Amino acid sequence: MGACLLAFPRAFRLEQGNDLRSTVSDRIEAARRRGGAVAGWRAALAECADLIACGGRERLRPHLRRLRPDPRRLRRNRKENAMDAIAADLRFALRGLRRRPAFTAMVLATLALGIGANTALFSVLDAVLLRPLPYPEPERLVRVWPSAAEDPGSTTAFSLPDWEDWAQRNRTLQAIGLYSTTPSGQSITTDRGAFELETAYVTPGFFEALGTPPLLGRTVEPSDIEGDPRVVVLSHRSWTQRFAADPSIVGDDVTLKGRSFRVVGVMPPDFAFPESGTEIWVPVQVIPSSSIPMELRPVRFLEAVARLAPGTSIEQATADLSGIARALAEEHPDTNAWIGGALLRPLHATIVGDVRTSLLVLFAGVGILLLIGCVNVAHLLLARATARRQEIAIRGAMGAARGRLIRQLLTESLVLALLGGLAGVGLALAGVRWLVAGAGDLLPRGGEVAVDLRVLVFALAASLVTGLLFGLAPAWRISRHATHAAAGRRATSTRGGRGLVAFEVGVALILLVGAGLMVRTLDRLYRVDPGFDPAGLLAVELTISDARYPERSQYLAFYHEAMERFAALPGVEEVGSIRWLPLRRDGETLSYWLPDRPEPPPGQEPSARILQVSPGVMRALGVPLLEGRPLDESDRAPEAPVALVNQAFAREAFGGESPVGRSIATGAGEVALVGLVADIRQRALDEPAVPTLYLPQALSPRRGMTFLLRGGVDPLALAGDVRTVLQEIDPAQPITQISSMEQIVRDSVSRPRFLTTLLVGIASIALLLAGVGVYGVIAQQTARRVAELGVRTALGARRTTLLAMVVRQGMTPVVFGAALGLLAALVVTRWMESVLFEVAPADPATYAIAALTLIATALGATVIPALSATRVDPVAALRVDA
Amino acid sequence: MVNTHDTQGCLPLTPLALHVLVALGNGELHGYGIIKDIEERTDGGLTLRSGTLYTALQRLLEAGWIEDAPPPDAAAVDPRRRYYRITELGRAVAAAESARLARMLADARERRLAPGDAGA
Repeated sequence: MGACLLAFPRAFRLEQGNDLRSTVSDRIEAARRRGGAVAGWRAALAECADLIACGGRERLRPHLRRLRPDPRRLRRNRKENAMDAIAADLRFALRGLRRRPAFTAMVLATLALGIGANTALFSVLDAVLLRPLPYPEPERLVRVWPSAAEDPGSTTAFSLPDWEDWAQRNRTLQAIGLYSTTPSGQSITTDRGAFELETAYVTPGFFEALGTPPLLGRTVEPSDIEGDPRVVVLSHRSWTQRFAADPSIVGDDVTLKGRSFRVVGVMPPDFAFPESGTEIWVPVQVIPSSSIPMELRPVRFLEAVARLAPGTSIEQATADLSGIARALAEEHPDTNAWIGGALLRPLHATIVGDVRTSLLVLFAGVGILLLIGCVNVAHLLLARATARRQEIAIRGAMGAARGRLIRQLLTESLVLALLGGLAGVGLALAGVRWLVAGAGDLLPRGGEVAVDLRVLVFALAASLVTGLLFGLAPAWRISRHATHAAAGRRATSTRGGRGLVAFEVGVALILLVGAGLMVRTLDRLYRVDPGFDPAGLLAVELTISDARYPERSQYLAFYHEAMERFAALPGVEEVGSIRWLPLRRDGETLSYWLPDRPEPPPGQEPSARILQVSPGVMRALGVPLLEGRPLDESDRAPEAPVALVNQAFAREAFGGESPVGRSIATGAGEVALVGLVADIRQRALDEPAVPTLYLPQALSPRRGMTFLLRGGVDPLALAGDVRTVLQEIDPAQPITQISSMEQIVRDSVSRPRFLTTLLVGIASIALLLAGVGVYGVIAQQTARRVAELGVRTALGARRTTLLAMVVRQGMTPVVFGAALGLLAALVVTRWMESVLFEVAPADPATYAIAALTLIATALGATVIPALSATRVDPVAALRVDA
Repeated sequence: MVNTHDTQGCLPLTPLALHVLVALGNGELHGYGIIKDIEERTDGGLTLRSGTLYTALQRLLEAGWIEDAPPPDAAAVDPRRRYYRITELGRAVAAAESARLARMLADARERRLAPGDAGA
């Protein structure tokens, strides 16, 4: 509604806007009260149309006044004549459009949909891909990894000692800082109670590299590490939401994990790194050495972000840092032998890497949608042009120049395109909000998406190009009609229609194939056997507070009590716990070797993942024990550690022989393997199992733990009881999340599902538009042939024969276009390879189904007008003036 | 006083302009009030769209036939609302147009083109 007011000149809006706006809403409200919602919508529509029409007239008024015959103004220079002519064209166009409301509505709806979808997607694309990151000179920001000398793709994380050496010795970086995130957050206690904050652990250099100055106070500095590292920097969101945007918070103390921290600074709103939801930053040194011995060189768990020195290229920095890595490998052969290189990637690429392809595929999709819309509108204009042939011919005969005729017709197209674009921007405003909300965490930088001036300029450009695209051909053709007709010749116009049909069928098919490939991908993902049974499984994630439970034995007791009480709940059949839930995250890495074989050189041991579990977790997960025995409560002796392994481990370590009864050697001693369990997909549904060891949690407990409860058809019904139990044990212990395992499985495919939903939606609209387009062309063609068909009937042609003839002629361009579309799809869908799963971009079944769907739709759109044309009474048909 | 204005050059008025002037004859109204008044007087025969009304109001303001007015009831004021009242010039124009129409109506009656002439 507000957008419609934009049709008025600015001065008018300033003077009348407010009152006008309230009058319009009063009137709509009055209509709604009188006649219900439908009447309200109808009134709203009428008001909008009137606002746009009156606004346009108001803008044109200065020009229109000049058009009035005024004897004093009859002599004018050429330039002003041209202006007058344009104004006249505009007036003429608006009048013509108002006189054909059905035609105008159809065209505007098609264009609004096409331009709206493109504008909405462009605003997302612009914010995520095109716009620089919200840091100063973002092109100098890179992510850095230590990597293997011979294989730069094989990377590792940083340890603090390595980072200190890299930071001191390099000559190509302005700053390099480390960070690490904990997915389960920190519990923070203030006088407003305990809640969890998403925390990033950082080193000095982190804020320096990113370069954003703090909004208040300061960031983490080297002096914090040498002195007391217990300082915290707040994100803008946590500052406003948790601390009421109180500027005096800087310098105050808050309690984090039971320890007092000083708030030293607040970051500005657009600073969101490493995660969009990061709420606080604390020095990594606050992690007690007892839980992570950070001073050790091989303890690599930190990610790095760096700022290149001015004028330095990524290649120069890579060479410089690789040199440092090689030097460290020589100085510390026991820990760094295999790290002889460095990998650098632009920060922007690492942030948007995953969604780039999805966004480009969607953008291509809406682009095709707009093309099809253009084709339909072009055809509607052609049909109207044919109807106006006489008028144009007369104007041509009266001496109107061809250029002048074309300009007038183009004006009409542009007016249509701009009005459609205006409505499209309205759609885009709603669409963007829906897109960003629907994509949620899937979209990096989603918070930066907005319909702003850049997007509006894009919409304007799209509208103008669209208007030229669908306007030029009809304008050209009709003006040729005019000159032909003036010369007494008749022009044919079926060939153009057929070309349009072939084109739109072809591009629609590309879109259908793309959507089909995504549907197949999603279907494949849903069919993946995760190796566990998610039905009836409840997952309770929490991170034990280390202030309240400083000792292992204390939090083990907490786990133990919780599980015993869970098991006693009515309806609970099995209970277990595991460090990381399947599909959430993989376990820690462990290097091992076989005791009966020679020990491999350091750094070249095979590695496996380890997950800490409770006895009973495999039963709760529904993972079958294939050999040996399950873990039990007695497996807690540190001098005789035991473990379960999965099939992937057995294959890699023992070449498929039974692992039961054997043992492996690790840095911490030998571990006896007591059982073999089936593989489960731990990392993601589309990633097969990796070699994994399941260790009893009693031996190496972790503070983050997920309880698994199997019971009943609806596991979420247990959530209330679970909360009560945990509250009774310790009311101050926050729960991170309670969810059903089925939900977690669904969430794990939310990105392909979101892409599929959007693409199928776009493809459906494209199919509909293509069907409407084919229908329009065939209906027009058969209408022109009524007399001919009548003659054929009179001469004895059977109706089925005629029907077959019309359908065959109608379907020829469809089949031709479909064939071209299939070929084009073969080329185009190769770009989609990275978002597909177990489906080849050239999957024959998908192509066949897409082609059949399209041809069936086109057949339907052909048969309907063909049937009605061949049903005509021959006598009546012959009377029609051909 | 009325005759001090040169009103003849403005005639005839558009029906909408006259409707607005008549609507404001009883005192100040805001835009929505004008629409309601016109709808009531014509028994819904003339339904105005807001855009149309406001472009007409703009013309009348520019011509000096209507002007801004303070809200009639200071207590129930909606700050977005703008009230209009008819000016002296507007009254003169409306009177001149009414006189013109009355003459026209009389002529029509005389030639039996208007209702109310059945007895003649």
